[in-house]
Amino acid sequence: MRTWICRIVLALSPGEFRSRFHDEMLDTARTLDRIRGADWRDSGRAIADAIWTICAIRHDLRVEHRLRIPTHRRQPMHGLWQDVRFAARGLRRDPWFAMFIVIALTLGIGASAAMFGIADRLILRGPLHIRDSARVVRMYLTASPDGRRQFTTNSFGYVSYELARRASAFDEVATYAVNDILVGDGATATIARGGYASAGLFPLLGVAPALGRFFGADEDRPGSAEHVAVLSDAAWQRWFGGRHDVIGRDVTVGSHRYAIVGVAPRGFTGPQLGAVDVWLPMSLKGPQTTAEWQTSWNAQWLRIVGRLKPTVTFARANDELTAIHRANYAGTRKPVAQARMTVAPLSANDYGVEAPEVSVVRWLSGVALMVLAIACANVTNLLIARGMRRSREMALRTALGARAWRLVRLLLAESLLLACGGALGGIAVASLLGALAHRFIFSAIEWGAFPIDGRVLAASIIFALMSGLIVGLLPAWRAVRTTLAAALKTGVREGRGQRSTLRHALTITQAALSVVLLVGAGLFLRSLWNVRAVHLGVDPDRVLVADVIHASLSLIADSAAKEAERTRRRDFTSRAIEQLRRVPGVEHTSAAVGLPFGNRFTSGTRVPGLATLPQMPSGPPSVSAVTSDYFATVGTRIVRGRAFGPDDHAGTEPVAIVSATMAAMIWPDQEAIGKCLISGADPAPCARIVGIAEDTHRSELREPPVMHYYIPFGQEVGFGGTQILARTAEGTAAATTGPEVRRALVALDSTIRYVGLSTIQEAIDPQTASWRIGATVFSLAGVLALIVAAIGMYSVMSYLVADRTHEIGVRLALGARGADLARVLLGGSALTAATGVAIGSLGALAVGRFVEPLLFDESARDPVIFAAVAAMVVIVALAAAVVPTWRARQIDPLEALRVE
Amino acid sequence: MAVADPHPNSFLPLATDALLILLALASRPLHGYGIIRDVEERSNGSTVLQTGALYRMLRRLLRDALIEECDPPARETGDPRRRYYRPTRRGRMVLDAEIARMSRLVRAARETGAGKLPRLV
Repeated sequence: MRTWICRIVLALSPGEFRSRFHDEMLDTARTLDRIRGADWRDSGRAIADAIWTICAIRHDLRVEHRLRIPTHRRQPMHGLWQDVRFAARGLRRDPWFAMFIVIALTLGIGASAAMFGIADRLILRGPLHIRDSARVVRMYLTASPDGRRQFTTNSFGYVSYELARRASAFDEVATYAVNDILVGDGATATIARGGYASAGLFPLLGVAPALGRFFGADEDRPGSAEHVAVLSDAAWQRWFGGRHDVIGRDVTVGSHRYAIVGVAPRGFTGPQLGAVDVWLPMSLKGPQTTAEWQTSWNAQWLRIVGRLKPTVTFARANDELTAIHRANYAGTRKPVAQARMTVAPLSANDYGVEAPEVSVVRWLSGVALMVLAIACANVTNLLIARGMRRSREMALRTALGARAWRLVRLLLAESLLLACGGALGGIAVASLLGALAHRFIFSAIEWGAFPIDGRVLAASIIFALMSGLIVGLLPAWRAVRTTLAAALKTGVREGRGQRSTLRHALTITQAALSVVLLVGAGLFLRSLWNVRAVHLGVDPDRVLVADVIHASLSLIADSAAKEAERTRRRDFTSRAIEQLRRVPGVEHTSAAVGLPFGNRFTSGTRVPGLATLPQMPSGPPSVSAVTSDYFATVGTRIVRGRAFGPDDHAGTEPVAIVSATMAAMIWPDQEAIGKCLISGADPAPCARIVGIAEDTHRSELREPPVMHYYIPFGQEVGFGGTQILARTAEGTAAATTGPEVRRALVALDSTIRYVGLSTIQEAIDPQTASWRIGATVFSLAGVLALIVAAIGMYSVMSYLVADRTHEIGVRLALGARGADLARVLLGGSALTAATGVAIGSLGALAVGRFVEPLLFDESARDPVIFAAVAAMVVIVALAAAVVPTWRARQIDPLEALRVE
Repeated sequence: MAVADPHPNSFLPLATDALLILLALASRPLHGYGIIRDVEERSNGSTVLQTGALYRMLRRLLRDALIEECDPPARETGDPRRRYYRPTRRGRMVLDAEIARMSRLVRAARETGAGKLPRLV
């Protein structure tokens, strides 16, 4: 950041200063950037310093000049400076005009710069502090099981990491896993993000610690790993107040104390974009997954990254990894043995493809540029109008001997000056929009510093220069083209007789672009509406999910004591369900293993009499174990039969409730109730089906139908992870009931280390993010565009009326009625808008094909949306024409004719 | 060109930044970043010299020949882009004059009792 600002300062400084201090100053700024990073306060100070310095150095030089070289030296840019001052004076005389243009450009430049800042991180640059990030890749495995959807994953076991290290395509290979961890003791414990990394990750990424050191290979040795930790800069500030003596102190993670050996530089998040609070040795995480974690093919918990050798292509790396994988796979899953390994850039999501957020960001960048285009069209229009008013002045200058390029320069100085104003405002708008977007739209991403960094600053300046040139060139060209004789002859009413086709074209362009944006807004709003209307089979915002975390059982050495503790915790669950029912605002409570939108349990399900279960793209049936009041708690309807009762628990008759899809798939044309289902490995008893529940979602909003069944809580074998659920009463916010629930649980058991609370809705929200982002930004941009376009149309109409005052006066004098006049003027405006609507609709249809995959159950050609947008634009156009029309009707024929 | 050496007092009062830089350089030669760090340490972090302000002031001090470039200290070799500065004889005289001026000011202030007690009126 400082380096960039320094470059700008140097670029704008006098040559004498630049040549003397260039290298040195950049070196200092780089050192500062490297050692201190920059938060928004630093950045603000640096920007203020830059502006001050640029002015102050010029001032110094001026003073020196005055003292030592009194003779006036003609500078080559002298004329340009004069032009700028002249333009500034001209604009000061017309403050409303200048202000409107600056506002329009501010919005356009601000939106574009803010989007650039987001796209820069998400698409162009990726995570911070990675050296040559284009060569760093993440590994994926794609398998195609028979009859099921092909799946891609980036979760691997330690074995795959060991194999990947053999590949010659990489300079280095490292592995990491990011999980929720419990940090601190007792009441101060919090959930944080823990990054378990192999020691090689840091050198691979090329990151240097801000303080202390990263852990080394001897501290991450499987079997004898050290309890050491590296804090993120944010965690260091939050937990230790940024104190320098943090090295050597302890931090409690889970049930262990870790010695802090270093602090990562600010904004470092590893190879992914989400924040990581503490980095820990990967080898400490392994034993938590399974005892044989070093050799197991069944524990997938690691992501693998590699740095490609400079000459190696992605394809070669894919082939080599696949060959190594197939030759060495020793697990039992046939599809995985045949699987293909691939590598993808760090910006890819968990499935190895571009994340939906990234595609949305691409579209939003387009939207921002369209807002800028609309602003430019508008400003061009106004500048042409101004140019026409000034054509006599230009002609006079030409007559007095000014060259064409001199006039162009004068006009360009004006537009560039306006663009500079736009850039300043734009930077402010971009920092505001950026901060809002970081906070509310992309909150899962660690953004680190202030939304404006050197690159965004540079982008704003480039946008401003570009728009300055674009809006200035056309009016300048027109001004120069006007023939001298014609301009001087026209008299007072300049530009008369030319129905400016160019200006109409610009207005039509604005209307058309507004239509495209508004259609986009409509499509995304409808998608969001459709997403909300999806029948989920649960009431996601009314179900509070409590994850109760106790100390790890593995800490208890004595096996009898361990068993006693296990029983005690089981009792705790039933007591907790009882107790929570008494919390005000809670209607139903239950416990469950496996919840909608986060269920991964399958349990070797069989049905007597069927050799295999029907194959579905979504795979074999999933299972969850639930207590009696579960269905009432989450709001899943029992279609037929009964729900579980208080008598269904561990040790009673095995029963099951199947989902409607499962019943229809396995027992078509038969009554499923009363049939038998075998869940779990042999010798499992036959569970009698007692009810059929409506369908719910297994993990995603958009997923093919799934087979699912429920068994009573306590009857589950081979899977676990109890969550306690509370249904809040209608109209009670989960946020207010949450703390009560937490208090009630903690009061019940003093050994609880932490209670994690969330709603099922919170599990869904990330999946709806792309539609929410699309709807918000398209709507904002669309409304903005419409306002700017409306002002544009108003200005065209006003100008038209002012320009035709004489003509209107004559018509009125000859007996034209006000109504005729209104018809002509309003009709013209409506025609302009209608043309824009037609062109914009065609454009929206053409672009719509590409947006369609991003929509949710919504056609990109929805006629309702197109009709609504068309009506809106025409109405706004008419409204914009009302005032000028009224003004035209007020024209006094005598006055109008006397003007000449 | 023989120019009469201006009297040290003609540079007074020094700008705050100039005073801080001269103080930083008084004990040992430093490069740009070193000066920023020294100023920060000397003020317990309350004064942070910004890059632009630093180099603008360095230029002025060089112009007035209050500081000059020098070789890096023997143990700090390395980056050839780093230039080291030290005060000239005139620079030291100006610094001394400024300190003397300030102490006179402080003494005068003390005599009025200013700065000692919280004043109510």
